[in-house]
Order: sequence, then C-alpha cells, then structure tokens
Amino acid sequence: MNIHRIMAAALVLVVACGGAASDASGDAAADSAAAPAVTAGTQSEAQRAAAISNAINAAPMRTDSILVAHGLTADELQQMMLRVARDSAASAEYGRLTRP
Amino acid sequence: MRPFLLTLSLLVLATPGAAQVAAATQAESSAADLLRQRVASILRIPTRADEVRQAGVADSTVRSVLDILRGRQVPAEQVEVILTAERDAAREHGPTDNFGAFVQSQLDRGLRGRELAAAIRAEHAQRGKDRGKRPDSAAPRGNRPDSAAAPRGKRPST
Repeated sequence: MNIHRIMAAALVLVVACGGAASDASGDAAADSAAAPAVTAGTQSEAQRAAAISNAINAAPMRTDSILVAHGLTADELQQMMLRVARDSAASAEYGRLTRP
Repeated sequence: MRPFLLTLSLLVLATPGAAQVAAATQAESSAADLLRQRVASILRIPTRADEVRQAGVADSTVRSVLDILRGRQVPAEQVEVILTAERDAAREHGPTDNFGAFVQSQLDRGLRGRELAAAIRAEHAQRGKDRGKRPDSAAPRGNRPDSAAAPRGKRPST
C-alpha cells in the first residue's frame, strides 16, 4: 500500500515538472502569435516608435514578444527613442500619437 | 522491493528537477520584470525630452545632452532621471546655459540616480540665485534663439 502511494506521488511530481515546462513554452508560443505584425516602410521613425510604444503599453506583459515582432532589442529600442527625442518635431509627433 | 527502489530513484531524480524548474521560472520572471521596467523608461524618453523643451531649455541643449547620454550608453532609467530633474528644475528656476556640460561632469564624477537629480536641482537653484543678483536678470534670453517661443515658468509635474 505504501509503495503504491509513493509511486503515485512520484508520478504526480514527474507530471508536474513536465507540465510546467510545457506551460512555459506554450505561453511563449501564444505571446509570439499574439504579437502585432511589423509595419515598417512608409512610417516615419516617430510613427514607428509610437506604434511600438502603444503596443507595449496596451500589453506590458508581452513586451519581449512585441520587441521580437518588431525586430528590436531593448538596446535598439533605446537608440530609436533617443533619435526621436533628439528631434523636436519627431518627439512632439510621438507625444501626440501616444497620448492616451 | 524492485518497485520500491524504482519509486525511490524517481523521487530522487524528480525533486531536484522540480526545484530547478521553479528556480528557472523565478529567474525568468524577474528578468522579464526588469525588461518591462527598462522598456517603460525607454518609451518615456521622447516625452521627457519634449517636456524639457517646453520648460524653456534650448533645443540645441536638449540635443547635446541626449548625444552625451547616447554616447555614454547611459541606461534608460538614468536618462529619465536626468531629463525629469532638468524639466522640474527648469520649470522652477529657469533653464541653465551649461546643462550638457554639467551633466557630463556629474556623470564623470560617478553620480547617478537621486544624487544626480539632486545635483541638477542644486545647480539650477544656484544659477537661479545668481541670475537674480545680476542687474540684467529681467532681460530676454537672447542667447537662446531656438527656445524663444517655448513657454516658461512653473507647471504641475506629470
């Protein structure tokens, strides 16, 4: 009887470990699927920066996958925001486009 | 006896594995939190720069400071601290002419965060006092042509 209980406990542990791992990978897959599509091209840098900002502010928990979807690292995003900030017209446009 | 040994070995294998998964999940979660905080600061940089301009700081000064911060790869959280301190100090005491050089010197001294913000406020307060002592303190700021149209004076913090 005791042996059966121990075996059942071991099985629960093994299943729990496997389940946690698959949950984590499942979340990542869901995040990347739900991330917005990249819309570069005709947009100005301020417009692109504002689109990224609005996407992240709407879903902060998906920050990582949104950056990936836009092909940016956090460092690259910072460089982009510094360029926008440097240009008074661009930063004003960014402010207008991101205002809640 | 054999099933018992099998179970025991499964338990021995599974328990450290579960602990490792829990530790890895926690590390992943705190790394994600740090990334979110950093990105939130990054996203506020253009808005803060715009607020500094609206507080009366010359556009050329803002550009110069941003170039310094970019060149030194200052973290976004510190960029925000600097811009926010400058915005508030400029609203309270008026802009200074040497903000870029001052920030550079304070970064060289190793000042960061609250200490740096306090140094920026103190510099503005001192410059404000000095300006008040000068007989031409009421004269328009002719040396800042690119900020002539910017509104000045106190504004509520956002």
